[in-house]
Amino acid sequence: MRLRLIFAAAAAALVAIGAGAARAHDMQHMTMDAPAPPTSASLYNLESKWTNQDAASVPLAALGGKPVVAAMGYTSCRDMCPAIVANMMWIEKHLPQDAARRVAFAFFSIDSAVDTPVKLKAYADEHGLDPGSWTLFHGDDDAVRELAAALGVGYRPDGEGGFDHAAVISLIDEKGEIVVQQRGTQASSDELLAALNSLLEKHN
Amino acid sequence: MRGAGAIAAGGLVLVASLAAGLAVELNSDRMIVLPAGLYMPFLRVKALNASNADATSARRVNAFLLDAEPVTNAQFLDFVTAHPQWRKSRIKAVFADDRYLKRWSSDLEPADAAARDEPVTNVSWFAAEAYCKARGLRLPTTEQWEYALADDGRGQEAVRARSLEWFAEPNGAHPPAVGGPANGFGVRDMVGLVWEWTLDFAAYARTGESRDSDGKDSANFCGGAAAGVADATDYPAFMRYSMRASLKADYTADNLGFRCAGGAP
Repeated sequence: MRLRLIFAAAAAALVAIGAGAARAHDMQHMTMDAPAPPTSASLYNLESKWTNQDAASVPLAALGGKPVVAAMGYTSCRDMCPAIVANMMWIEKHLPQDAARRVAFAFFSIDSAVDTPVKLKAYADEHGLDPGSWTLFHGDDDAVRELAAALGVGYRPDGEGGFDHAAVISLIDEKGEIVVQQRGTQASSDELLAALNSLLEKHN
Repeated sequence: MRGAGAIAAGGLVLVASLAAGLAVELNSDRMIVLPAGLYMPFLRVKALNASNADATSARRVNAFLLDAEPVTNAQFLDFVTAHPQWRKSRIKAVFADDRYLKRWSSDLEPADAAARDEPVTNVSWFAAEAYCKARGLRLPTTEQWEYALADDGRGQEAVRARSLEWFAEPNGAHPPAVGGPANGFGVRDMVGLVWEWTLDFAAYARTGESRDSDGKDSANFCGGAAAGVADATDYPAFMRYSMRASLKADYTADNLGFRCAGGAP
């Protein structure tokens, strides 16, 4: 949000400097590149702040412009969470050859205390997740709570250092709107994959 | 929390020491300090590797602050006045469905003068949480809310009876105004006016399509499994947990309001 404001201010300053300083078509180019405000139903209205597995701070809206396959979990979860990531990898594997990099895979950790960027990076490496398409996010308790609410992911500390949480994989379109959700680790990913393929065809 | 002068100026109704475990009403913003204590959760959930004993033992709740009453239309009006993005004409669809503040006649007008002291309804979890955050607070956890209702065991038969009576009443055009009788903690209107959001309303939901025949539905939830309920005859508690499990964060309803809490969850 702040970045966008700064960008808008910079653009406005350039406009004020006038056409003598910047050629008209450059200005137009800049206008076209300026991110549009999120749509009313877009998840990118959420103001929560996240850090990726390379410890860079990333606003949620940075995922915009591509379809996103998103889920929440935590890396030390040994019971059902691996199945969530496995389902996401299955989706990735079943995309058309050229399409994998046109989709973002996002894993948001619920465990803000334990899942540091270093932990997330190790987890990504361990599972062979392509850093070109996969991002693993660390956020504070507020960020986790807000995103979990928006994605309909119920969760609760289990009293043993871990969490009980719903297994949900969401397909989010390039505008940040939820297209379809897969609930439960035993559910088929066919519907989500079909919806993702039609998003990709639409924007081919 | 507040200086002695401020407390005196606030016209304190009840003064007691926290250490003694008694409720203190901070009259200025009508919040109650609930003392730490033990309570028996209705819904028992155990971690996969936990023993049964863990699942059935009483849980300790730390001291926390809770609004004495649900947030009213007048209070919510102050909030949307100061925070225009939460007005009904400006609310983003991701944060609330199209029934948001449905009873309000316009952005800055609750239904009528009488509505001022009625609980605000048709507010989403996002809006409720944003309101509490603006006061430096947050929504109570489900555990905190249930702890306040449990009232250290006082008057629980009356709570159940009032709940059943309320469930049987048709929804009126408006909920009644806040200000019902206080329970032992000094908290009012927990039952009989509106259902209330909690911070972790979805935490006890089991929202998968497929359930195991034994009800453990472990495929939908990482980790814990339901380990039964504390009292199978407590129908109002079933209702409360089911109602919360049915909610989504953008959902709004005519009989759904909230109150805020403070202190560490």
